[in-house]
Amino acid sequence: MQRHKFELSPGVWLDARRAVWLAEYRTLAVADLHLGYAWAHRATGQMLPIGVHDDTLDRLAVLIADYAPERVALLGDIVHQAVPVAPLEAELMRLQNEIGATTALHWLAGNHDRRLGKMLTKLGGNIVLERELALGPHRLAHGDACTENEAPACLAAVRAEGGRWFIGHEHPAISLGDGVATRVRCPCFFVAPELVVLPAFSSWAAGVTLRSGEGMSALTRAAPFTHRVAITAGKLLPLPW
Amino acid sequence: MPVATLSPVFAWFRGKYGEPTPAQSAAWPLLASGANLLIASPTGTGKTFAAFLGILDQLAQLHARGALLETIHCVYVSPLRALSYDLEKNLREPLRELFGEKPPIRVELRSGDTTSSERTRQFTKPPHILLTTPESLCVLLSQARWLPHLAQVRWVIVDEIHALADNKRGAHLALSVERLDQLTEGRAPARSPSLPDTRHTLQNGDARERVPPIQRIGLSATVAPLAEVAHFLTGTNGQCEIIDVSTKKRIELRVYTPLRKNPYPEAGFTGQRLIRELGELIKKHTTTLIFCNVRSGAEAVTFWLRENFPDLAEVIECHHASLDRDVRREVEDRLKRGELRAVVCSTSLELGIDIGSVDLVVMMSTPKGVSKALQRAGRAGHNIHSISRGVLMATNVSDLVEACATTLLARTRHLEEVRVPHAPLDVLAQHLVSMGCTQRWTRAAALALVRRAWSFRDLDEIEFNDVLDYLAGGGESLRRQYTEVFGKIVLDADGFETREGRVRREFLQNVGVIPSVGQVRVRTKSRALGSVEESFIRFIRLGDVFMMSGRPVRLDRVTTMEAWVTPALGAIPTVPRWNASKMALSNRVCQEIIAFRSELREQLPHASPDALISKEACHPERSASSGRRRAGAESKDPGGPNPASAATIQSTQSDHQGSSTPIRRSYHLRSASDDPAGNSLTKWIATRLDCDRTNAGIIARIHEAQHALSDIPTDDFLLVEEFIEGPEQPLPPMGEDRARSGRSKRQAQSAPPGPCAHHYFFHSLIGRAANDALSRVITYRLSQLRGGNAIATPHDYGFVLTVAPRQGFREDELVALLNQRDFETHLHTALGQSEMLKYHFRNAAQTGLMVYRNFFDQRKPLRKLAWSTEVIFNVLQQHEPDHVLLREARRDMLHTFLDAEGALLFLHRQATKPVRLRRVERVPPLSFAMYATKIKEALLVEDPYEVQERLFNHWWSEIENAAAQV
Repeated sequence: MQRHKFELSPGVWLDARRAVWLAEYRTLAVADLHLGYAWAHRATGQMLPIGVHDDTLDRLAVLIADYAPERVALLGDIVHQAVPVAPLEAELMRLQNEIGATTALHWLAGNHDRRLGKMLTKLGGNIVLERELALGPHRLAHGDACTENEAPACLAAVRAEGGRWFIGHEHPAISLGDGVATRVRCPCFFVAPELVVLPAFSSWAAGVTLRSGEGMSALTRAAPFTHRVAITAGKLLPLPW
Repeated sequence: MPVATLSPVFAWFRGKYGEPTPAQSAAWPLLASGANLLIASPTGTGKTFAAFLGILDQLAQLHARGALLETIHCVYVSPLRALSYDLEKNLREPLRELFGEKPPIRVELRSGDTTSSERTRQFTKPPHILLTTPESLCVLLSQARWLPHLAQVRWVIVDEIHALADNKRGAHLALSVERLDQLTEGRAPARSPSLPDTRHTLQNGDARERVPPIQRIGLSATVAPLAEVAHFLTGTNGQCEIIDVSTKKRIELRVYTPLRKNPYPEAGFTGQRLIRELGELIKKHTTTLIFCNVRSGAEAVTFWLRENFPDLAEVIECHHASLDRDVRREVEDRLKRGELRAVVCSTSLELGIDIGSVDLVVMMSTPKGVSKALQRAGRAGHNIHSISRGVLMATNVSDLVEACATTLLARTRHLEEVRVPHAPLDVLAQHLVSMGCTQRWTRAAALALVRRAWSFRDLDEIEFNDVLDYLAGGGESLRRQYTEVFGKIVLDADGFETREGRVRREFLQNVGVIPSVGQVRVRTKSRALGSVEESFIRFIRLGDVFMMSGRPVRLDRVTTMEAWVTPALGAIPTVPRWNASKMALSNRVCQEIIAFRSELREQLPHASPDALISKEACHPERSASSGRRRAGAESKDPGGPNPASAATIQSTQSDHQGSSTPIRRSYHLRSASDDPAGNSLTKWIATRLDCDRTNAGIIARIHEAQHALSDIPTDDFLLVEEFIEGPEQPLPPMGEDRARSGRSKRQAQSAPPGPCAHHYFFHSLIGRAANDALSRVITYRLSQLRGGNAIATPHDYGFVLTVAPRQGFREDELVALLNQRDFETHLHTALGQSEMLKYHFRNAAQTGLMVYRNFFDQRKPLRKLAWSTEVIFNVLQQHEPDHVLLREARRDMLHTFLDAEGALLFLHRQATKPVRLRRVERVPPLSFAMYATKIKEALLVEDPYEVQERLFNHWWSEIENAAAQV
């Protein structure tokens, strides 16, 4: 049952490398890169280790080389915080110029990206942060914008068209045990008929296990989840909700 | 001294209190001589005035001569704010009586609660005597503008020093005291000659050259060795006089004699059974203080007392650290006013706030150590002349033996040894930042200062530099590579200074070593009740009923930081809070119990060393059947899914039908309880443990049963019992979210027999901390040998290893598992990713200022804190395993929480002794407490008391039946 990719519905693939591949639209989606995580914390006084190379963009580059997508959607929280430090600026330049040269990047804004636009302008790009990306029946966004009142309608709208929302924001995870002693926390996808919540692409994210009704975004709280697809040892393991 | 020559202060004391207590008359001349002093005595022996009266006197004399400076002369530090509140009142009384409403000698309190207007006032007009906490003292020392106020300090008093000496909070305080000391040294030459030199004036003008810069006074309860505590007080530079009057106050400790026959179940906490008897004790006394080892226990006892004694319900209260401060204060005040008949507390009333006229202290289940027992009992009879009466109430049979051993050791005053922590690096990191806030330091000067504290006396210079490197933002290469490493300090080859502005401000918000464990505030619409662990709230569901200060409440709603509840009067809690006791039994008590067991085994028939062999020999069925089982287990038939387990079922059943061993052996059980031999055993136990016949009889009965079913574990060999539970079936598949699988697993296990498991009861009587370390290594080695994982549940008396059927092992394999070689390597590997290491890292990361606890007075949402430290932990573990805070977390875990040395010592001694692996058909009495610890966590659905009673009856009836069949 375990595999690296999992076709959720025709053309919608979950990839164990924490990505979604929309084959029909040749679109790769990843969420919550949180670039500059350690640096942002350092800037606010938390002495996170920074002697370690952050491999987030390397992993993204490998995915892009694999799929050769027409476009890549970054589903928000691209940076952890837009602190003006050289290492984060360098990563953003790499994302924009190097990775952006191989495919069309869609920068969807998340709650952490408040000052990202300004920072990118300062770095000399002409990137526009988007709120949402529509691909046929599908909607891609960070997922935090929809209000409690709008959420049911938002979900109903994509359901009517046979599509899904693809969002990030939650950093979903699951705690797995073998019934005896071992417990591990793995990143996972939350799956509902009209919604997929992507795991955080950042290697810094430990992930949050949810109780129903506890989601951070209104969309997550409103969605009738049916599955969690856990990422264990680089493979996907679908589990009933 | 004739009254006429007494100074006004001493005259006041004589007039008010009469003769001084022994502690006071010993302390006053020594204090006047300028010596450092450690006073060890129980509460109610006049410690406060022993320390303070001389100081008040000298301050009064200065005032009389017009030489009293408007600056801080005395700093008093206590681990509890409540103590400072009490002391403030106690000191203001003589000052008011001597000087009237506006005394010239001011006493003020400084803690985290002090308002900013009070702080400003204290700065502009500093008190002469400052009462404070270790944290607030460090905050003052971190502010340059405060240093002149502190530079004239003459006395430092550390109260309840025994509660600080053995932990990081004490190490933190010790560094503050050394800094204070150096500050006064540094200031001395700089003094303006026109100012009266207080130090020399205090010595009556007799200018002595070698006056210790600051006179240090430690107040301690009963601890040992006092010399170590004295070192902790004075650091590496000072001498210290010790006054030990701890034996002057009479403390009577006894073990409760139950009213009923067979009153003790085997399992853990069973307040219910003893509640009625406890209630009778309360009725017979004016005020009873009841100690439970865990908060949930205190909650449960309060609840059941109120249920069973409705007429006393209003005068029984609960007190523990998780209750809201106002709730606690209210209880303390009512206790002092004598309005309460009983207060049930966890450890929160162990330390010395004056709690009025308690005439009985009851300890529900043993206090796990001799010093603790004496300290707790000392809370009764709060004055020098009254006797402190303490009763140890055992909640099960192992507890009973433990209680007897503890009492015995207390009578002969065999106390545990205090261990001062060795150079905690997270504490060091915090102090280095604090030091750098007021001046630039050279590395050498800073190291020399730090090494003056006893904890840090042999701090390694390399480690010292590593901590500086970490604080500067990473290693040298990192600092060259980036301009923005955002370090706490600016470091160069010679020295360091803390970065200005924000870093310093934030540091002041985060001083201290007390870990912020995830706490969620519990409140009703009208008031805050207290707090509970975040993990607890996450587990329960809305509508569940749990206990808060002994009253049932129903959970209505949970927000990030608050749990909203409504009182649920009359409801029975649906979710007990089972926090297993974190306190490990002291080594001293362990040794006593093992000695007792060894001697007792000699008293029983067939208990010569040869009996080990003859026992096997006279039960051929047993050896044969276990031989069969083992043969089955080894034959690996590739055909079936689990052939080994099939074979095992067969032999288990045949074993069971045969039931040979227990029945044969149970002959002794019966005969012992009826004939004179049994009586003689009871008599022997009563003499050996110095306990009464009823308790001795109970202890005799349980050991006879143990002897009949298995063997009595002693120091001469290691007993390991193998017990197979439930039908053999494959392990449940991987699955599901923690809360869900947790719940279903619990449901499945709560009714024995549950899913099949092999339990191995290791009777290594070395205390929980050592057993925790030992069991982790054994578990790791077993998983290397057999694959898969196993659960070990540590206990004071040994540990239970629970494994899947295919992981079962033979006696020869067991010997290999117990090898002392590579112990530390295996322990490190076993703990590498453990929750325990993460927990310790979280504390070290907070204390070492890697992550902040507080952001400008706003407590961080703890879930976020947990989140980020777990992530950091994983990154560090992978890429920077030698990071100073990870190093500290490992040490902390290995040497403070776990007792790795104790475990290794056990294996070392075990190497020359035999191991006996015994198959048992039911859980033997001495293993039941271990077994119960294991299943406790599985008992969350049913009422725990019912389940434990039911399990107890289940196992006990089997034991009795087995005996009756003969």
